[in-house]
Amino acid sequence: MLSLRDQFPSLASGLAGTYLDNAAMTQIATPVLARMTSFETGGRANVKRGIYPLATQATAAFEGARAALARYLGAENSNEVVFTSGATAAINLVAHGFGAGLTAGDEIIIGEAEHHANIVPWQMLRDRAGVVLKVLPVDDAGYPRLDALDDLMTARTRLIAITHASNVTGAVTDVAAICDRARAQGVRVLVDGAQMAAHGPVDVTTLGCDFYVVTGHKMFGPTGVGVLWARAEVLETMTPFMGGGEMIRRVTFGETTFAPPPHRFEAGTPPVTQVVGLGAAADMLLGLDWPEIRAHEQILFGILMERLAALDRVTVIGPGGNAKRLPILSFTVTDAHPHDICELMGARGVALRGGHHCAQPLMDRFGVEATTRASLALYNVQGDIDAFTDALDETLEVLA
Amino acid sequence: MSGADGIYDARIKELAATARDLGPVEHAHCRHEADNFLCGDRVTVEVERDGARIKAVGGKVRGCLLTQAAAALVAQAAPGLDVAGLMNGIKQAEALMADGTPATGAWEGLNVFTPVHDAKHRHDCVLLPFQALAACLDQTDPQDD
Repeated sequence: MLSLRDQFPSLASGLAGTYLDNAAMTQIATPVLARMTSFETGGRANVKRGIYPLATQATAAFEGARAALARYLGAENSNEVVFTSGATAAINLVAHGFGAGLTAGDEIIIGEAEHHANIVPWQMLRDRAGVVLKVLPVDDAGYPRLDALDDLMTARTRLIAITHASNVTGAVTDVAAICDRARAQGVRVLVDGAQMAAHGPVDVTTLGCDFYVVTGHKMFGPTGVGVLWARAEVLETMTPFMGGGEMIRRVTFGETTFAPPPHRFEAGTPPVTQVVGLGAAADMLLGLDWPEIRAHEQILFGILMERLAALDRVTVIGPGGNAKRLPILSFTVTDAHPHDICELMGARGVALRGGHHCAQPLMDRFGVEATTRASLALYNVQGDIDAFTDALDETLEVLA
Repeated sequence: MSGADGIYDARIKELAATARDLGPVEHAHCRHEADNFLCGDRVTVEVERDGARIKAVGGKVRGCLLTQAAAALVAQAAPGLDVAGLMNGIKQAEALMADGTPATGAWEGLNVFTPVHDAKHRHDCVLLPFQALAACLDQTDPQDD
C-alpha cells in the first residue's frame, strides 16, 4: 500500500503523524490538489453562463466533476447530482425542499445511530411544519433494528432518514432492505453516506434509495463541498432551498420561475474549485482496486480489535468483528475520559477523536458520555496500529 | 514522556479523584447545569449558603479529568467564602487560563492548573465548573439568606 500512501502529501511527509481520525476528515490526495491547482492557476472562471473559452472550460470541468460523482455513486443521470457545501447542507436542502411538500401529521422515521446532521434538520422541520418524528432503534451491536420498522411505518410515513454507516460504531445499515420495505409503502428513503463514501464506490440504483448524501472532506477531497444525489423525479418536485443567481429560469419583480434540477438547487456561484477537486477524488477512487483495499482495511482492523481486546479496562462499542462494518472503532476505558486519552495520544503523534461524535442519542443508547474513536482509511498501515498500541499503553500509564 | 503529560500532574489526578464524592447539597439556594458545547462535557453546580457565607458546593461532573479536578477544587475552596469570594475565584481561574496569572489567597489551589495555561484547547475544561458556578450565583439574591 506504500504507493497509495505516497499519494497523500501529509502522510508521505509524516506531518499528519499516525492519522486515525478519518471518520472526521480524510487526508487530501495529490491528484485532488493537482486538479484544484490546475483550475486555479490555469482555468479559473465562473461557471454555467460564461461563453468565453476560459468560462466554457471551467463549466466543462465543473460538469465533468458532476459526471464523476454520478459514476462514483452509481447514478444513472448526472443531473441527479446537486453540489452543496457538504452532507449537512445536503440533508438540510432535503429537509426544506422535500419537507415543503409535507403537512402536519406526516411522519419521518430517523435512525437512533444518526449523526446530529441527520437529526436536527428533521427536528427543525417538525417544529415548523408539524411533522412527527419517530426513531428506529438500534440493537446492542449498533445495527438499526429492521424488525421494528414495520411497526413504525404507517400510512402517514413519508420519509426514512438513515445512515449508511455509523460514524461512531462503523455498523453498516442494510439500506437495501429498508428501501425495499419503504418502496412497498411509497415511503422515500434518505441515506447519509458520509462515512461510506471513503470505503469504495456506492450504487444508489442497487440500494434503491431516493436521496444519498456525501461530503468531500470525508472522501479524500476538499472541505466545503458535498453532494446530494436524488432521483430525478423527486428532485423535479422539490422547491428550492436557497434563492439567487444561477437557479432561475426567469425573474421579474412579480415572480420567479426556477431552473430545472440540479441547477435549481445550486443558487449563487458554487464552490467551483472544491467541486473540481471532489471530481478528482471520485475519479481517483474509481480507479482503485477496492476488493484489495477492503481486505487491507479488514486486516488492519482485525489487528486493532485484537490489541484492544487484550486490554482489561477497554470496552468496544458496536458490532465487534461483524463483517458488516466499516473500520471505525469506538471504545471506552474504565476511569479514563476520551478527551484525556486523545490529548495524550495526540501528544504521542496519534490522531484520534474523543467525545460524543455528534451522535449524542447513540451515546445515550449505549449509556456512555463519550467514546474514543479510531477510524481507518485506505492509506493506513500496520505501523499505524503499532503506534496506536504503544501510545495507548503509555497514555493509560499516565492516567493511572 | 510528552509535554502534554504535565497537564496530568499527580495533584490534578488526586483532585479529580475526589470529584466522585461530589453530590447534591442538602438545601441548595441555586443550581445550574453548564455544558461545553464543543465536547459535550456537563457540570452541575449546587450552592448552599449559610447567611452571607457559602456552606457547601456540590453537584455532578460528567467530563474529563481536568473538569473533574476543577469541580472538586471549587467544592473544596468555596465553603466559608462569601459570594464575592466565589466571584473572585472565577476571575482568578479565568486569569490563570488567559495569561497564567498565579492564583492567590483562598484560590491558591488553582495553581495546580498552571500547566493547562499552555494548552488553550483545554481551558474550557478547567473553566466549565467556574462558568456553572457563576451562572448559579446569578440566580441568587445576594440579600437572600
